[in-house]
Amino acid sequence: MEWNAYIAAMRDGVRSTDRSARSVLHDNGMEEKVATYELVFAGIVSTRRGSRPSQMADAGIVQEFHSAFRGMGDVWLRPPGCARMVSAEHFANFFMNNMPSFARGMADQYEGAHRRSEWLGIARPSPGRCEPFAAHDPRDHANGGCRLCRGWKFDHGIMVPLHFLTPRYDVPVVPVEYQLPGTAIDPLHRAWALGEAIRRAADRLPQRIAVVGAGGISHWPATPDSGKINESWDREFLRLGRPTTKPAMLSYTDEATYRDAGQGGFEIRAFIAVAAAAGAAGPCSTTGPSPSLRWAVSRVICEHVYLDFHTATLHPTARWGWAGSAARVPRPRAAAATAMNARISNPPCPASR
Amino acid sequence: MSLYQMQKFLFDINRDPAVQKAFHRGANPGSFGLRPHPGERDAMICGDIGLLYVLGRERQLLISLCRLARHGMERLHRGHA
Repeated sequence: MEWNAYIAAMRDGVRSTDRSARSVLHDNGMEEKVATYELVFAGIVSTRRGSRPSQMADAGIVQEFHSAFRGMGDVWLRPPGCARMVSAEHFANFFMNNMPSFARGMADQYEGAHRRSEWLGIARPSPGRCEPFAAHDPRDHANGGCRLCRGWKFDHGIMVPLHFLTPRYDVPVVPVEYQLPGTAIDPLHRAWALGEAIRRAADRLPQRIAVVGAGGISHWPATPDSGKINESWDREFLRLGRPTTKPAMLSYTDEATYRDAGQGGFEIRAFIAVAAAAGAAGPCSTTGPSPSLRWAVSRVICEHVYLDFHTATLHPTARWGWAGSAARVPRPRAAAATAMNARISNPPCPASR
Repeated sequence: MSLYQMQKFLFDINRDPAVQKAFHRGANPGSFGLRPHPGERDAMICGDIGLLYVLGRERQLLISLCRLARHGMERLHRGHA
């Protein structure tokens, strides 16, 4: 099926080839024929919606980015099924005293935008839970190293994609997060295993499943280099980051990623997990579009992620002077360190407490 | 105050509305059981991300604090004090 035809079919709700009978082998040896919809979409999206875009980024590019984001929501699920959101942990649910490598939500109700809603310009909706997943076989995720959690708060990693993809928050959601804070980050092959586990779970469910990874490529949030990106590194990763290029994706070392893409580059784990879910466990669908085609959707968004990172300041470090367009030309590290070290001995804001 | 204690406090500010509200209303960090160095205390109150970064705070926590600083942590604090 040609790409344009695929888009048209999705928008028209014509997915007659999705429903098929598959054999599911149970532990007791019984084989059951069930109707499944399998994985219908896998993609990567940005977790940024463009902070104060009217001031910090070219309005045209921001509009283009947002349009692409919303357009992705037009095709990823129709009719709505269930979305598996893969994102990084940003200290929203876990702290250093108790931090699982991978975790999956199975709460009765989710709380969106757990931090101040004005940060994201997003209210505090409560996306629905995904019933079938709540009753799924937990071994599907245990094999991927995923811990199950009955309480969950969504941060920007999940709320921003939902804001664009499901503006009415009417698509049931299952959050999956990988550990990002700290120094002991799981190796990339475990992110790949997580993606495979997600795929296995999706294939066992009688529902149309979408897997959406959310994260950035190279970026240095909350550092003196905030706002900086490594364009060549990003493009190279996007070139390699396909479901069929597992060795290339897993060849990145944390040391090199930190050096070339900052600590934000560790979020490639979302890309890897979704790539594994999309293609590593076999074709997404024997009758639907190819995995590479679906991956092309995510590539579009990735390209726009790049644009967003390139033109919008990631974090409001105005106190340092990196805000606005100056984000493209971060100050040298040495100068930044000198300025901040001076601030240690001379705090700029004497508190009156 | 240890690095862990301060980061736990920042975590609570980000996540717990009650702590956030109390802090914005001018509660002294000492009322939360903390004994921050004056520089640490000022950095928290002022939302001085640069100083907190130099002091070794986890960047993922500072991301949230950046947002607080943008929306006037200091103003909120002083306005309700």
